[in-house]
Amino acid sequence: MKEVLLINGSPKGKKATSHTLLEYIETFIETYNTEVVSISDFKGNKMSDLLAKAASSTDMVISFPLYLDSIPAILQEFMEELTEYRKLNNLSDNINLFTIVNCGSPEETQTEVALKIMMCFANRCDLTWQFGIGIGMGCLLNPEVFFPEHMFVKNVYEEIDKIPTIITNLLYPDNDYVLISPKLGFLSGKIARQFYIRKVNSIWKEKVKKNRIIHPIGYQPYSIHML
Amino acid sequence: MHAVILHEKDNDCKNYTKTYSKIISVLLELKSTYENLEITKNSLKSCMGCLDCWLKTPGECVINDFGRIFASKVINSDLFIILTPIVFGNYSNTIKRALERLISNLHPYFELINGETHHKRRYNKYPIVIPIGILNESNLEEERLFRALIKRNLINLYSEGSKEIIISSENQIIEIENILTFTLLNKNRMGVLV
Repeated sequence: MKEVLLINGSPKGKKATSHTLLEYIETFIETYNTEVVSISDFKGNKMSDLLAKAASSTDMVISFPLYLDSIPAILQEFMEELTEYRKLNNLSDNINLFTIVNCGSPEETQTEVALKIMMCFANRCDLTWQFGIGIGMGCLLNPEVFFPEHMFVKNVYEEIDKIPTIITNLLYPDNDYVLISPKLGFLSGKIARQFYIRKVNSIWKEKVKKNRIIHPIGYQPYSIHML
Repeated sequence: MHAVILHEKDNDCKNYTKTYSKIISVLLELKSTYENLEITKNSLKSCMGCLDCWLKTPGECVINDFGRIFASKVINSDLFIILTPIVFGNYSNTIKRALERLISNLHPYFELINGETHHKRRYNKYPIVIPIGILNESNLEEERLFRALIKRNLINLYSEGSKEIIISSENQIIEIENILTFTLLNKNRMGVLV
């Protein structure tokens, strides 16, 4: 029986877009034993629980936001620990790895380096790399920013819908429809980039206004004359 | 010229200590002042992704710990040296944890830079960044990945005139002298011209 562990690598935990995506994907693979977990719930001593879960899974789906062009530090820590854990315990059971990374920028290819870091991790940790998907315009998937029923979001979810299909095709080895895919894929919203940028900027502006902050949004607290 | 050096305490990576010593000796030789920011996992909390440093307390992280001091020191330096073990082609998680706290030094608004969307600069001036990655042995895949990552990071950190260095054997440490000397002299020359 497949044990599919879906890992949310965002520090925002359940509030994260990465978590929403995993819950969405989970509905497509309900016939297996599945569990969605957030790395942020396994800090400090609890990390060993997550390592044990990961090591006993047959498939891992890791979803995370792009942080400074790569992996969030808390996810990187888990990846380093898991590599060490499997090595120390001499574990070589096959675990398939799927990765989804979303970024706020419209250009989905900005996620490419992060996906390749994940491929390198798979190699070093002796996992079987299956597929990585980079998503642009991640803000569209954040329900706090855009309403899910909004026309812009529908476009993105049409693309997102392809992800569980890809994963289930790879999870079901006997499926007649064998996906012949590249190892990396990219998708983004079908909205004009300039429009998206203007829209996101105006959302930030509205949020700041709502927060009634003292300083302007472009405040420079660490300029020498401020210190 | 003032440099800030970010590095991990007690890292057992091969050539780590020798590389660090070389950085210091070159900076002293070039008469640059420097500040040593030696961190562990417990030195600062990781970014929570709340974006409050953009939307509630502009320019300042809501976590009141070393992360704030770090962001302030980096933005007020001329040269920011990052010494890190390379892990899967990435920074180590400890170093990455610190770097993520620099998000407060950026502005939330997007703008196009060379045809790509990035966050706007918050400050007029950003330091030159010299990332130095350490590998225990040569690994072309990780070296290529690290260079690709740095190329992207330098756009987001608004660093001009920067160059990464990868050390996978002791005889490569000399490269630090060449690159730091070139960068600092070039920076001074540009400074005079400005």
